[in-house]
Amino acid sequence: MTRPIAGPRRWRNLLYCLLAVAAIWLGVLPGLGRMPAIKQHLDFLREHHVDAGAMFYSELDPRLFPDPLQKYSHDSSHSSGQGNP
Amino acid sequence: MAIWVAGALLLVAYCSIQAVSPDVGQKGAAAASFLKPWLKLPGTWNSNPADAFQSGKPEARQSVWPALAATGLLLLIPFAVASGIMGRGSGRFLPAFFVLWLLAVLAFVLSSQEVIRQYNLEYVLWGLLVGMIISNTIGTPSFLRPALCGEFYIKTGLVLLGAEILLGRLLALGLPGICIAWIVTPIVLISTFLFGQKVLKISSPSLNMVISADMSVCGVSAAIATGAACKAKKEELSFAIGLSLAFTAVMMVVQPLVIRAVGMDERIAGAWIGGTIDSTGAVAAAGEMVGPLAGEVAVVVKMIQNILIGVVAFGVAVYWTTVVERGGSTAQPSLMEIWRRFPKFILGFVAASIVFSMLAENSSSGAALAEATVSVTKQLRTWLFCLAFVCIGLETNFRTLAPYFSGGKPLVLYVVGQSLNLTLTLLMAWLMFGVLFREAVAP
Repeated sequence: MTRPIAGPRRWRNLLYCLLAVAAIWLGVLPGLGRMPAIKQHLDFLREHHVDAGAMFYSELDPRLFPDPLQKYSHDSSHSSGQGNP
Repeated sequence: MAIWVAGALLLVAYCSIQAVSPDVGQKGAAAASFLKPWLKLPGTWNSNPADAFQSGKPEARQSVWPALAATGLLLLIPFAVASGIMGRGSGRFLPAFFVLWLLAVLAFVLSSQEVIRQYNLEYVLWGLLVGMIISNTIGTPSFLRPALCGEFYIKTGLVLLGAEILLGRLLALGLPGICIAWIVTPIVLISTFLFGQKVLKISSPSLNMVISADMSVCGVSAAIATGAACKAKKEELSFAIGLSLAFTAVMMVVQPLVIRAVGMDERIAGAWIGGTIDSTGAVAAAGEMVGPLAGEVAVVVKMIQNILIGVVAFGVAVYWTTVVERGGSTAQPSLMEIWRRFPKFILGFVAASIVFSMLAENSSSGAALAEATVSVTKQLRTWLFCLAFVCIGLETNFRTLAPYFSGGKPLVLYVVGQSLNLTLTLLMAWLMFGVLFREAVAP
Protein backbone atom coordinates (compact mmCIF):
# COMPACT_ATOMS: atom_id res chain seq x y z
CA MET A 1 0.00 0.00 0.00
CA THR A 2 1.60 3.26 -1.07
CA ARG A 3 1.52 6.39 1.05
CA PRO A 4 -0.66 9.14 -0.41
CA ILE A 5 1.03 12.36 -1.45
CA ALA A 6 -0.16 15.20 0.72
CA GLY A 7 -2.46 17.97 -0.47
CA PRO A 8 -4.29 18.71 -3.71
CA ARG A 9 -1.13 17.87 -5.68
CA ARG A 10 -2.08 14.20 -5.68
CA TRP A 11 -5.40 14.91 -7.37
CA ARG A 12 -3.64 17.14 -9.90
CA ASN A 13 -1.20 14.31 -10.63
CA LEU A 14 -4.09 11.91 -11.12
CA LEU A 15 -5.74 14.35 -13.51
CA TYR A 16 -2.50 14.70 -15.53
CA CYS A 17 -2.22 10.90 -15.79
CA LEU A 18 -5.85 10.55 -16.88
CA LEU A 19 -5.40 13.30 -19.47
CA ALA A 20 -2.30 11.54 -20.82
CA VAL A 21 -4.16 8.23 -21.04
CA ALA A 22 -7.12 9.93 -22.75
CA ALA A 23 -4.83 11.70 -25.24
CA ILE A 24 -3.07 8.45 -26.16
CA TRP A 25 -6.15 6.24 -26.35
CA LEU A 26 -8.52 8.76 -27.95
CA GLY A 27 -6.02 10.63 -30.12
CA VAL A 28 -2.71 8.91 -30.82
CA LEU A 29 -3.86 5.28 -31.14
CA PRO A 30 -6.87 5.95 -33.40
CA GLY A 31 -4.53 8.14 -35.49
CA LEU A 32 -2.02 5.28 -35.75
CA GLY A 33 -4.85 2.94 -36.68
CA ARG A 34 -5.69 5.16 -39.65
CA MET A 35 -2.13 5.04 -41.05
CA PRO A 36 -2.20 2.92 -44.24
CA ALA A 37 0.43 0.38 -43.17
CA ILE A 38 -1.09 -0.23 -39.75
CA LYS A 39 -4.67 -0.17 -41.09
CA GLN A 40 -3.68 -2.80 -43.65
CA HIS A 41 -2.14 -4.93 -40.89
CA LEU A 42 -5.25 -4.62 -38.70
CA ASP A 43 -7.56 -5.44 -41.64
CA PHE A 44 -5.41 -8.46 -42.51
CA LEU A 45 -5.60 -9.84 -38.98
CA ARG A 46 -9.35 -9.21 -38.79
CA GLU A 47 -9.94 -11.00 -42.12
CA HIS A 48 -7.92 -13.96 -40.89
CA HIS A 49 -9.77 -14.12 -37.54
CA VAL A 50 -6.55 -13.52 -35.60
CA ASP A 51 -6.80 -12.07 -32.10
CA ALA A 52 -3.21 -11.08 -31.41
CA GLY A 53 -4.17 -10.25 -27.84
CA ALA A 54 -4.86 -13.89 -26.94
CA MET A 55 -2.93 -15.12 -23.91
CA PHE A 56 -3.58 -18.86 -24.27
CA TYR A 57 -4.42 -21.17 -27.17
CA SER A 58 -7.98 -21.64 -25.90
CA GLU A 59 -8.61 -17.93 -26.56
CA LEU A 60 -7.79 -18.19 -30.27
CA ASP A 61 -10.46 -18.57 -32.93
CA PRO A 62 -10.84 -22.32 -33.63
CA ARG A 63 -10.68 -21.55 -37.36
CA LEU A 64 -6.95 -20.89 -36.98
CA PHE A 65 -6.29 -24.50 -36.11
CA PRO A 66 -5.98 -27.19 -38.76
CA ASP A 67 -9.04 -29.40 -38.98
CA PRO A 68 -8.54 -32.19 -38.48
CA LEU A 69 -5.22 -31.94 -36.67
CA GLN A 70 -4.41 -35.48 -37.73
CA LYS A 71 -3.18 -34.29 -41.10
CA TYR A 72 -0.21 -32.83 -39.28
CA SER A 73 0.57 -36.00 -37.42
CA HIS A 74 3.33 -38.19 -38.79
CA ASP A 75 1.52 -41.23 -37.46
CA SER A 76 -2.23 -40.75 -37.35
CA SER A 77 -2.61 -43.37 -34.61
CA HIS A 78 -0.76 -41.00 -32.29
CA SER A 79 -3.12 -38.15 -32.93
CA SER A 80 -5.52 -36.94 -30.29
CA GLY A 81 -8.26 -36.49 -32.82
CA GLN A 82 -9.49 -33.48 -30.96
CA GLY A 83 -9.57 -31.10 -33.88
CA ASN A 84 -10.27 -27.61 -32.81
CA PRO A 85 -9.83 -26.45 -29.27
CA MET B 1 -8.69 -21.74 -0.53
CA ALA B 2 -7.91 -20.95 -4.20
CA ILE B 3 -8.46 -24.62 -5.05
CA TRP B 4 -11.88 -24.58 -3.35
CA VAL B 5 -13.02 -21.40 -5.08
CA ALA B 6 -11.77 -22.61 -8.47
CA GLY B 7 -13.36 -26.02 -7.86
CA ALA B 8 -16.68 -24.33 -7.10
CA LEU B 9 -16.46 -22.24 -10.27
CA LEU B 10 -15.59 -25.31 -12.36
CA LEU B 11 -18.54 -27.16 -10.86
CA VAL B 12 -20.91 -24.28 -11.58
CA ALA B 13 -19.62 -24.10 -15.17
CA TYR B 14 -19.99 -27.87 -15.60
CA CYS B 15 -23.52 -27.96 -14.14
CA SER B 16 -24.61 -25.03 -16.29
CA ILE B 17 -23.97 -27.20 -19.36
CA GLN B 18 -25.84 -30.29 -18.32
CA ALA B 19 -28.88 -28.23 -17.43
CA VAL B 20 -29.40 -27.04 -21.01
CA SER B 21 -28.03 -29.82 -23.20
CA PRO B 22 -30.18 -32.95 -23.04
CA ASP B 23 -28.54 -34.34 -26.19
CA VAL B 24 -25.13 -34.59 -24.51
CA GLY B 25 -23.94 -38.15 -24.84
CA GLN B 26 -24.91 -38.70 -28.45
CA LYS B 27 -22.28 -39.07 -31.14
CA GLY B 28 -20.96 -35.75 -32.30
CA ALA B 29 -22.55 -34.09 -29.32
CA ALA B 30 -22.32 -30.35 -28.96
CA ALA B 31 -22.70 -28.73 -25.60
CA ALA B 32 -23.34 -25.19 -24.51
CA SER B 33 -23.60 -23.41 -21.22
CA PHE B 34 -26.47 -21.07 -20.38
CA LEU B 35 -23.90 -18.97 -18.53
CA LYS B 36 -21.79 -18.26 -21.60
CA PRO B 37 -23.90 -15.37 -23.01
CA TRP B 38 -23.65 -13.80 -19.54
CA LEU B 39 -19.85 -13.88 -19.42
CA LYS B 40 -18.32 -11.24 -21.63
CA LEU B 41 -15.44 -8.84 -21.89
CA PRO B 42 -15.55 -5.35 -23.39
CA GLY B 43 -15.25 -5.63 -27.17
CA THR B 44 -12.73 -4.18 -29.60
CA TRP B 45 -12.97 -0.49 -30.43
CA ASN B 46 -11.02 1.92 -32.57
CA SER B 47 -11.74 5.59 -31.84
CA ASN B 48 -14.85 5.50 -29.64
CA PRO B 49 -14.49 3.59 -26.34
CA ALA B 50 -18.31 3.36 -26.08
CA ASP B 51 -18.11 0.75 -28.87
CA ALA B 52 -16.42 -1.58 -26.37
CA PHE B 53 -19.73 -1.85 -24.52
CA GLN B 54 -21.75 -2.96 -27.53
CA SER B 55 -21.75 -6.42 -29.07
CA GLY B 56 -23.47 -8.18 -31.94
CA LYS B 57 -24.15 -7.24 -35.54
CA PRO B 58 -24.53 -3.54 -36.40
CA GLU B 59 -28.28 -3.93 -36.96
CA ALA B 60 -28.82 -5.60 -33.56
CA ARG B 61 -26.33 -4.08 -31.16
CA GLN B 62 -26.66 -5.09 -27.52
CA SER B 63 -25.14 -3.62 -24.41
CA VAL B 64 -22.53 -5.82 -22.71
CA TRP B 65 -23.03 -4.12 -19.33
CA PRO B 66 -25.49 -6.77 -18.09
CA ALA B 67 -22.98 -9.49 -18.97
CA LEU B 68 -20.12 -7.57 -17.33
CA ALA B 69 -22.25 -7.18 -14.20
CA ALA B 70 -23.18 -10.87 -14.23
CA THR B 71 -19.52 -11.86 -14.49
CA GLY B 72 -18.67 -9.59 -11.60
CA LEU B 73 -21.48 -11.12 -9.55
CA LEU B 74 -20.42 -14.68 -10.34
CA LEU B 75 -16.92 -13.87 -9.09
CA LEU B 76 -18.07 -11.75 -6.17
CA ILE B 77 -20.10 -14.51 -4.51
CA PRO B 78 -17.35 -17.14 -3.99
CA PHE B 79 -14.72 -14.56 -3.13
CA ALA B 80 -16.99 -12.79 -0.63
CA VAL B 81 -17.71 -16.15 1.01
CA ALA B 82 -13.98 -17.00 1.02
CA SER B 83 -13.22 -13.58 2.48
CA GLY B 84 -15.69 -14.27 5.29
CA ILE B 85 -14.20 -17.71 5.94
CA MET B 86 -10.69 -16.23 6.08
CA GLY B 87 -11.87 -13.70 8.64
CA ARG B 88 -11.59 -10.60 6.45
CA GLY B 89 -15.29 -9.83 6.63
CA SER B 90 -17.63 -10.14 3.65
CA GLY B 91 -19.36 -6.81 4.34
CA ARG B 92 -16.28 -4.69 3.69
CA PHE B 93 -15.32 -6.92 0.77
CA LEU B 94 -18.40 -6.00 -1.33
CA PRO B 95 -17.77 -2.26 -1.96
CA ALA B 96 -14.02 -2.88 -2.36
CA PHE B 97 -14.63 -5.60 -4.94
CA PHE B 98 -17.10 -3.39 -6.82
CA VAL B 99 -14.49 -0.64 -7.27
CA LEU B 100 -11.87 -3.22 -8.23
CA TRP B 101 -14.28 -4.64 -10.81
CA LEU B 102 -14.80 -1.14 -12.29
CA LEU B 103 -11.02 -0.67 -12.54
CA ALA B 104 -10.74 -4.07 -14.27
CA VAL B 105 -13.41 -2.97 -16.78
CA LEU B 106 -11.32 0.14 -17.46
CA ALA B 107 -8.20 -2.03 -17.96
CA PHE B 108 -10.09 -4.25 -20.43
CA VAL B 109 -11.30 -1.19 -22.34
CA LEU B 110 -7.74 0.13 -22.63
CA SER B 111 -6.50 -3.28 -23.80
CA SER B 112 -9.26 -3.72 -26.39
CA GLN B 113 -8.34 -0.63 -28.41
CA GLU B 114 -7.68 -2.16 -31.83
CA VAL B 115 -4.03 -1.06 -32.27
CA ILE B 116 -3.12 -2.04 -28.71
CA ARG B 117 -4.82 -5.43 -29.05
CA GLN B 118 -3.30 -6.37 -32.38
CA TYR B 119 0.20 -5.61 -31.12
CA ASN B 120 -0.34 -8.02 -28.24
CA LEU B 121 -0.18 -5.49 -25.42
CA GLU B 122 -2.32 -7.63 -23.15
CA TYR B 123 -4.82 -6.56 -20.49
CA VAL B 124 -2.50 -7.48 -17.61
CA LEU B 125 -0.25 -4.57 -18.59
CA TRP B 126 -3.17 -2.13 -18.51
CA GLY B 127 -4.46 -3.60 -15.26
CA LEU B 128 -1.08 -2.78 -13.78
CA LEU B 129 -1.13 0.72 -15.29
CA VAL B 130 -4.61 1.51 -13.95
CA GLY B 131 -3.62 0.33 -10.46
CA MET B 132 -0.28 2.11 -10.50
CA ILE B 133 -1.76 5.43 -11.63
CA ILE B 134 -4.01 5.39 -8.58
CA SER B 135 -1.44 4.15 -6.09
CA ASN B 136 1.22 6.59 -7.27
CA THR B 137 -0.99 9.68 -7.40
CA ILE B 138 -3.81 9.79 -4.85
CA GLY B 139 -2.65 6.64 -3.07
CA THR B 140 -4.64 3.44 -2.76
CA PRO B 141 -7.74 4.13 -0.67
CA SER B 142 -7.80 2.01 2.48
CA PHE B 143 -11.40 0.88 1.87
CA LEU B 144 -10.08 -1.15 -1.10
CA ARG B 145 -7.81 -3.23 1.13
CA PRO B 146 -10.29 -6.10 1.79
CA ALA B 147 -10.45 -6.92 -1.94
CA LEU B 148 -6.73 -6.47 -2.62
CA CYS B 149 -5.81 -10.15 -2.77
CA GLY B 150 -3.97 -10.42 -6.08
CA GLU B 151 -2.23 -13.65 -5.17
CA PHE B 152 -5.58 -15.28 -4.35
CA TYR B 153 -7.06 -14.21 -7.72
CA ILE B 154 -3.96 -15.45 -9.57
CA LYS B 155 -3.95 -18.85 -7.88
CA THR B 156 -7.69 -19.32 -8.49
CA GLY B 157 -7.23 -18.26 -12.12
CA LEU B 158 -4.35 -20.71 -12.50
CA VAL B 159 -6.43 -23.63 -11.24
CA LEU B 160 -9.09 -22.65 -13.82
CA LEU B 161 -6.33 -22.44 -16.44
CA GLY B 162 -5.43 -26.04 -15.59
CA ALA B 163 -8.78 -27.12 -17.07
CA GLU B 164 -7.70 -25.59 -20.41
CA ILE B 165 -4.54 -27.71 -20.53
CA LEU B 166 -5.79 -30.74 -22.40
CA LEU B 167 -2.90 -33.20 -22.48
CA GLY B 168 -4.29 -35.11 -25.48
CA ARG B 169 -3.45 -32.15 -27.68
CA LEU B 170 0.24 -32.72 -27.03
CA LEU B 171 0.32 -35.09 -29.95
CA ALA B 172 -1.48 -32.75 -32.33
CA LEU B 173 1.61 -32.35 -34.48
CA GLY B 174 3.09 -35.78 -33.80
CA LEU B 175 6.79 -36.24 -33.09
CA PRO B 176 7.98 -33.02 -34.79
CA GLY B 177 5.78 -30.95 -32.50
CA ILE B 178 6.97 -32.78 -29.40
CA CYS B 179 10.61 -32.34 -30.37
CA ILE B 180 10.25 -28.62 -31.10
CA ALA B 181 8.14 -27.72 -28.08
CA TRP B 182 9.22 -30.29 -25.52
CA ILE B 183 12.94 -30.73 -26.14
CA VAL B 184 14.05 -27.23 -27.08
CA THR B 185 11.85 -25.40 -24.56
CA PRO B 186 13.15 -27.15 -21.39
CA ILE B 187 16.74 -26.86 -22.67
CA VAL B 188 16.33 -23.12 -23.21
CA LEU B 189 14.51 -22.66 -19.89
CA ILE B 190 17.16 -24.45 -17.83
CA SER B 191 20.12 -22.95 -19.75
CA THR B 192 18.76 -19.41 -19.38
CA PHE B 193 18.11 -19.90 -15.67
CA LEU B 194 21.62 -21.27 -15.13
CA PHE B 195 23.12 -18.45 -17.21
CA GLY B 196 21.32 -15.93 -15.03
CA GLN B 197 22.46 -17.58 -11.82
CA LYS B 198 26.03 -18.59 -12.68
CA VAL B 199 27.17 -16.00 -15.23
CA LEU B 200 25.06 -12.88 -14.66
CA LYS B 201 24.70 -13.68 -10.94
CA ILE B 202 21.19 -12.23 -10.78
CA SER B 203 20.50 -11.81 -7.09
CA SER B 204 16.87 -12.94 -7.23
CA PRO B 205 16.44 -16.54 -8.44
CA SER B 206 12.67 -16.01 -8.73
CA LEU B 207 13.09 -13.03 -11.10
CA ASN B 208 15.58 -15.13 -13.08
CA MET B 209 13.11 -18.02 -13.28
CA VAL B 210 10.09 -15.90 -14.27
CA ILE B 211 12.01 -14.19 -17.09
CA SER B 212 13.43 -17.54 -18.26
CA ALA B 213 9.95 -19.13 -18.26
CA ASP B 214 8.06 -16.35 -20.00
CA MET B 215 10.78 -16.11 -22.66
CA SER B 216 11.10 -19.86 -23.30
CA VAL B 217 7.56 -21.18 -22.74
CA CYS B 218 4.58 -18.97 -23.54
CA GLY B 219 4.85 -15.42 -22.30
CA VAL B 220 2.44 -13.94 -19.77
CA SER B 221 0.62 -17.17 -18.85
CA ALA B 222 3.92 -18.94 -18.17
CA ALA B 223 5.19 -15.96 -16.17
CA ILE B 224 2.06 -15.97 -14.01
CA ALA B 225 2.22 -19.75 -13.45
CA THR B 226 5.95 -19.97 -12.67
CA GLY B 227 5.86 -16.71 -10.70
CA ALA B 228 3.24 -18.23 -8.40
CA ALA B 229 5.13 -21.53 -8.24
CA CYS B 230 8.42 -19.90 -7.16
CA LYS B 231 6.73 -17.23 -5.04
CA ALA B 232 8.14 -14.35 -7.08
CA LYS B 233 7.57 -10.82 -5.80
CA LYS B 234 4.79 -8.87 -7.51
CA GLU B 235 7.33 -6.38 -8.86
CA GLU B 236 9.35 -9.23 -10.38
CA LEU B 237 6.27 -10.62 -12.10
CA SER B 238 5.27 -7.18 -13.39
CA PHE B 239 8.77 -6.49 -14.69
CA ALA B 240 9.09 -9.88 -16.42
CA ILE B 241 5.70 -9.49 -18.11
CA GLY B 242 6.53 -5.96 -19.30
CA LEU B 243 9.83 -7.22 -20.73
CA SER B 244 8.15 -10.13 -22.50
CA LEU B 245 5.36 -8.01 -24.01
CA ALA B 246 7.82 -5.39 -25.24
CA PHE B 247 9.95 -7.98 -27.06
CA THR B 248 6.88 -9.83 -28.35
CA ALA B 249 5.50 -6.66 -29.99
CA VAL B 250 8.81 -6.30 -31.87
CA MET B 251 9.31 -9.99 -32.73
CA MET B 252 5.80 -10.47 -34.11
CA VAL B 253 6.55 -7.84 -36.76
CA VAL B 254 10.24 -8.46 -37.44
CA GLN B 255 10.32 -12.28 -37.55
CA PRO B 256 7.83 -12.65 -40.47
CA LEU B 257 9.80 -9.99 -42.39
CA VAL B 258 13.05 -11.94 -41.89
CA ILE B 259 11.33 -15.20 -42.88
CA ARG B 260 9.94 -13.67 -46.07
CA ALA B 261 13.28 -12.03 -46.87
CA VAL B 262 15.15 -15.35 -46.74
CA GLY B 263 12.32 -17.35 -48.39
CA MET B 264 12.06 -19.90 -45.60
CA ASP B 265 9.87 -22.99 -46.00
CA GLU B 266 6.44 -22.29 -44.44
CA ARG B 267 6.47 -25.35 -42.19
CA ILE B 268 9.90 -24.52 -40.78
CA ALA B 269 8.88 -20.86 -40.46
CA GLY B 270 5.67 -21.76 -38.62
CA ALA B 271 7.49 -24.04 -36.21
CA TRP B 272 10.16 -21.38 -35.63
CA ILE B 273 7.56 -18.70 -34.91
CA GLY B 274 5.49 -21.02 -32.69
CA GLY B 275 8.50 -22.05 -30.66
CA THR B 276 10.05 -18.62 -30.16
CA ILE B 277 7.53 -15.78 -29.99
CA ASP B 278 6.38 -15.64 -26.37
CA SER B 279 2.73 -14.86 -26.63
CA THR B 280 0.07 -17.10 -28.19
CA GLY B 281 -1.88 -14.34 -29.93
CA ALA B 282 1.31 -12.85 -31.36
CA VAL B 283 2.31 -16.29 -32.70
CA ALA B 284 -1.03 -16.55 -34.55
CA ALA B 285 -0.58 -13.08 -36.03
CA ALA B 286 3.05 -13.61 -37.09
CA GLY B 287 2.29 -17.07 -38.53
CA GLU B 288 -0.61 -15.77 -40.62
CA MET B 289 1.61 -12.97 -41.93
CA VAL B 290 3.94 -15.60 -43.39
CA GLY B 291 1.18 -17.76 -44.86
CA PRO B 292 -1.74 -20.07 -43.99
CA LEU B 293 0.40 -23.18 -43.59
CA ALA B 294 2.92 -21.34 -41.41
CA GLY B 295 0.00 -19.98 -39.38
CA GLU B 296 -1.44 -23.43 -38.73
CA VAL B 297 1.91 -24.98 -37.79
CA ALA B 298 2.75 -21.98 -35.58
CA VAL B 299 -0.48 -22.10 -33.54
CA VAL B 300 -0.23 -25.87 -33.06
CA VAL B 301 3.40 -25.64 -31.88
CA LYS B 302 2.42 -22.83 -29.51
CA MET B 303 -0.56 -24.87 -28.26
CA ILE B 304 1.80 -27.75 -27.42
CA GLN B 305 4.07 -25.27 -25.64
CA ASN B 306 1.05 -23.86 -23.76
CA ILE B 307 0.36 -27.35 -22.43
CA LEU B 308 3.95 -27.47 -21.16
CA ILE B 309 3.24 -24.81 -18.54
CA GLY B 310 1.55 -27.34 -16.26
CA VAL B 311 4.72 -29.44 -16.17
CA VAL B 312 6.96 -26.38 -15.87
CA ALA B 313 4.98 -24.88 -12.99
CA PHE B 314 4.97 -28.22 -11.16
CA GLY B 315 8.71 -28.74 -11.77
CA VAL B 316 9.54 -25.20 -10.62
CA ALA B 317 7.45 -25.64 -7.44
CA VAL B 318 9.25 -28.91 -6.63
CA TYR B 319 12.69 -27.39 -7.36
CA TRP B 320 11.94 -24.33 -5.25
CA THR B 321 10.67 -26.24 -2.24
CA THR B 322 13.43 -28.86 -2.31
CA VAL B 323 16.47 -26.88 -3.48
CA VAL B 324 16.15 -23.08 -3.58
CA GLU B 325 14.31 -22.61 -0.27
CA ARG B 326 16.80 -24.94 1.42
CA GLY B 327 19.37 -22.16 0.99
CA GLY B 328 22.93 -23.17 1.81
CA SER B 329 21.88 -26.05 4.04
CA THR B 330 23.15 -29.46 2.97
CA ALA B 331 20.53 -31.33 5.00
CA GLN B 332 17.62 -32.76 3.03
CA PRO B 333 14.31 -31.22 4.13
CA SER B 334 11.81 -33.70 5.50
CA LEU B 335 8.75 -34.66 3.48
CA MET B 336 6.58 -32.76 5.95
CA GLU B 337 8.71 -29.66 5.44
CA ILE B 338 8.49 -29.99 1.65
CA TRP B 339 4.72 -30.40 1.91
CA ARG B 340 4.47 -27.31 4.14
CA ARG B 341 6.44 -25.19 1.68
CA PHE B 342 4.84 -26.59 -1.47
CA PRO B 343 2.37 -24.20 -3.15
CA LYS B 344 -0.78 -26.32 -2.90
CA PHE B 345 -2.65 -24.57 -5.69
CA ILE B 346 -0.22 -26.27 -8.13
CA LEU B 347 -1.86 -29.56 -7.19
CA GLY B 348 -5.26 -28.09 -8.08
CA PHE B 349 -3.78 -26.77 -11.33
CA VAL B 350 -2.42 -30.22 -12.28
CA ALA B 351 -5.55 -32.05 -11.07
CA ALA B 352 -7.83 -29.81 -13.18
CA SER B 353 -5.66 -30.52 -16.21
CA ILE B 354 -5.75 -34.29 -15.64
CA VAL B 355 -9.52 -34.42 -14.96
CA PHE B 356 -10.44 -32.35 -18.01
CA SER B 357 -7.92 -34.16 -20.23
CA MET B 358 -9.52 -37.49 -19.25
CA LEU B 359 -12.99 -36.06 -19.83
CA ALA B 360 -12.00 -34.74 -23.27
CA GLU B 361 -10.37 -38.03 -24.30
CA ASN B 362 -13.19 -40.18 -22.96
CA SER B 363 -15.73 -39.70 -25.75
CA SER B 364 -17.10 -37.14 -28.15
CA SER B 365 -19.63 -36.02 -25.54
CA GLY B 366 -16.83 -35.74 -22.98
CA ALA B 367 -14.86 -33.54 -25.36
CA ALA B 368 -17.95 -31.38 -25.92
CA LEU B 369 -18.52 -31.08 -22.16
CA ALA B 370 -14.89 -30.16 -21.51
CA GLU B 371 -14.97 -27.58 -24.28
CA ALA B 372 -18.22 -26.02 -23.07
CA THR B 373 -16.98 -25.89 -19.46
CA VAL B 374 -13.75 -24.25 -20.53
CA SER B 375 -15.65 -21.71 -22.63
CA VAL B 376 -17.11 -20.47 -19.33
CA THR B 377 -14.07 -20.78 -17.09
CA LYS B 378 -11.66 -19.12 -19.51
CA GLN B 379 -13.72 -15.91 -19.27
CA LEU B 380 -13.63 -16.12 -15.47
CA ARG B 381 -9.89 -16.84 -15.55
CA THR B 382 -9.32 -13.78 -17.75
CA TRP B 383 -11.25 -11.62 -15.28
CA LEU B 384 -9.32 -13.05 -12.35
CA PHE B 385 -5.95 -12.32 -13.93
CA CYS B 386 -7.08 -8.78 -14.73
CA LEU B 387 -8.33 -8.22 -11.17
CA ALA B 388 -5.04 -9.62 -9.88
CA PHE B 389 -2.94 -7.22 -11.92
CA VAL B 390 -5.09 -4.24 -10.93
CA CYS B 391 -4.40 -5.31 -7.31
CA ILE B 392 -0.67 -5.60 -8.02
CA GLY B 393 -0.70 -2.13 -9.56
CA LEU B 394 -2.57 -0.73 -6.55
CA GLU B 395 0.14 -2.14 -4.29
CA THR B 396 3.13 -1.10 -6.39
CA ASN B 397 5.14 2.05 -6.09
CA PHE B 398 7.09 3.18 -9.18
CA ARG B 399 10.18 3.44 -6.99
CA THR B 400 10.09 -0.27 -6.13
CA LEU B 401 10.36 -1.09 -9.85
CA ALA B 402 13.37 1.14 -10.41
CA PRO B 403 16.03 -1.36 -9.18
CA TYR B 404 14.94 -3.85 -11.87
CA PHE B 405 15.85 -1.38 -14.61
CA SER B 406 19.31 -0.63 -13.25
CA GLY B 407 22.31 -2.69 -14.28
CA GLY B 408 20.49 -4.21 -17.23
CA LYS B 409 21.07 -7.82 -16.15
CA PRO B 410 17.43 -8.92 -16.70
CA LEU B 411 17.55 -7.40 -20.18
CA VAL B 412 20.80 -9.25 -20.98
CA LEU B 413 19.24 -12.45 -19.63
CA TYR B 414 16.23 -12.08 -21.90
CA VAL B 415 18.28 -11.24 -25.00
CA VAL B 416 20.77 -14.08 -24.49
CA GLY B 417 18.02 -16.58 -23.66
CA GLN B 418 15.91 -15.54 -26.64
CA SER B 419 18.96 -15.75 -28.96
CA LEU B 420 19.56 -19.32 -27.79
CA ASN B 421 15.84 -20.03 -28.23
CA LEU B 422 15.83 -18.64 -31.79
CA THR B 423 18.91 -20.67 -32.75
CA LEU B 424 17.91 -24.01 -31.22
CA THR B 425 14.28 -23.79 -32.36
CA LEU B 426 15.31 -22.97 -35.93
CA LEU B 427 17.74 -25.89 -35.89
CA MET B 428 15.11 -28.28 -34.55
CA ALA B 429 12.42 -26.99 -36.94
CA TRP B 430 14.77 -27.52 -39.88
CA LEU B 431 15.75 -30.99 -38.62
CA MET B 432 12.11 -32.01 -38.14
CA PHE B 433 10.37 -30.45 -41.13
CA GLY B 434 13.33 -30.09 -43.47
CA VAL B 435 15.08 -33.44 -42.93
CA LEU B 436 13.34 -36.12 -40.84
CA PHE B 437 9.63 -35.47 -41.46
CA ARG B 438 9.59 -33.70 -44.79
CA GLU B 439 6.24 -35.25 -45.72
CA ALA B 440 4.64 -34.86 -42.29
CA VAL B 441 2.84 -31.66 -43.20
CA ALA B 442 1.66 -31.48 -46.76
CA PRO B 443 1.80 -27.95 -48.19
